[in-house]
Amino acid sequence: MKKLKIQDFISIGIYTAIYFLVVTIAMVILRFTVPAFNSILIPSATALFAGIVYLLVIHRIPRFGAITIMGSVMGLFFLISGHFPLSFLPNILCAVAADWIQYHTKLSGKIRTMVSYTVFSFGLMGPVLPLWFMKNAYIDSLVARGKDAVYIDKVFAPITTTTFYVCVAAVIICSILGIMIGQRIYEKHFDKAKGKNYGKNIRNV
Amino acid sequence: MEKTYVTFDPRSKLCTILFASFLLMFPLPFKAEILFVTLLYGLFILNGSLKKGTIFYSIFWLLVLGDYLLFPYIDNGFAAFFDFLFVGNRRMLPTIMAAAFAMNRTKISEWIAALKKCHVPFGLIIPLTVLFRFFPTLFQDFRSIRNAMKYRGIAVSTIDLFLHPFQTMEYIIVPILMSAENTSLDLSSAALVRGLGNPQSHTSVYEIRLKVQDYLLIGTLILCGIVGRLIE
Repeated sequence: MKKLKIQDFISIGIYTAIYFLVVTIAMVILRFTVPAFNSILIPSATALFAGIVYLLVIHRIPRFGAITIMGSVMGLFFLISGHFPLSFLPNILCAVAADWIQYHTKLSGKIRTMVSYTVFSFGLMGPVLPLWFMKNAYIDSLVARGKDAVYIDKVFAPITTTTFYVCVAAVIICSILGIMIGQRIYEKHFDKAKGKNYGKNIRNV
Repeated sequence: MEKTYVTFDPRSKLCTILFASFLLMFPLPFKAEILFVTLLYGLFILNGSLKKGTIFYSIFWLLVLGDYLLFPYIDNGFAAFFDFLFVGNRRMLPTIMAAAFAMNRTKISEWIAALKKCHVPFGLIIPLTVLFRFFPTLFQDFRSIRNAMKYRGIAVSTIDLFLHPFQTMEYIIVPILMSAENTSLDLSSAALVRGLGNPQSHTSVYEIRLKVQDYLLIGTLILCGIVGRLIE
């Protein structure tokens, strides 16, 4: 296994910044189009658009560790800036799993990328967790003021399970679509213009 | 002119964020919550950002007020939905406040020095530094690309951006990725010249050290947690 060099770390940082830009754009668009529950849709919307970034990371830095570092940096950044607290754990775990799938399984190239990208996209599930905590807080406050527990159960039972399944399904579908779009963009812009060995040449200096 | 009275170590700020995050998982009773939010407000004042702290604090009380006013009409589905938003957002507020307090008047170099002190692996610190440093360039690029798009007649108004999201993404992300390759080369050479490749441990101009106020803050947080659990 080849070790990552300083250049690789810097490239990972830059790609992470671009990935973060995609997350931000998705967040802003959702905030203006879907009211109230927009945070559930952030993972899937990002998955739809960030396929090309992920593909470039895989092609330019084809070593184990790149994706792990990307996910961990996202997690740390979220932790410090406090956007989605506690989202650093899913981020890191999903990134390690995605990395492992990408470099240590014997699937065919395209399917492997697709699966690892899907797993990686689940790392952004952090924003969904606060909704669950919000629900718990609401139930607590209802109980504290003497609402009937049966009534509360009846109101809230469908909300979380359905939204959770919808979210998971949306992430899977969107990441498969996103990686397909990403592959088309990659072939259109990066394959022809710069050649397949472009990234490798500059890194061997 | 606002003035900084006390400065805190980034590590104790990180402790505040973590405590707020735990608060989200293991909720405290309402009285303790008020206590904690008031403590955060006090931290804002000590840090010299009276205005920002007051805004957060009044948002907290507005959310409490909204919940209080809506509660009698809870059998109505619409009111219940808004009540849910009020209560939920109130629970989210401490973490946002803690993070705002942590980012407030802390230089990124200080964060980096503190993370180094915490023995975060070097391979994580470099990308994180690049991430912070790269943002201004990224927004500059974004603006230039947007101008170029307008010049060529692609998505002239902002509404067009929303109407054709895929086209927008392609025309914005691809140029940024193209220029990213060059930026990463520039940054690499700059970093190597400044001695980032040196395997020895690096020094920092920032003196990162836990002072009296940091121990006080961490102690208060722990006390707040214990007392909060006991009140229940």
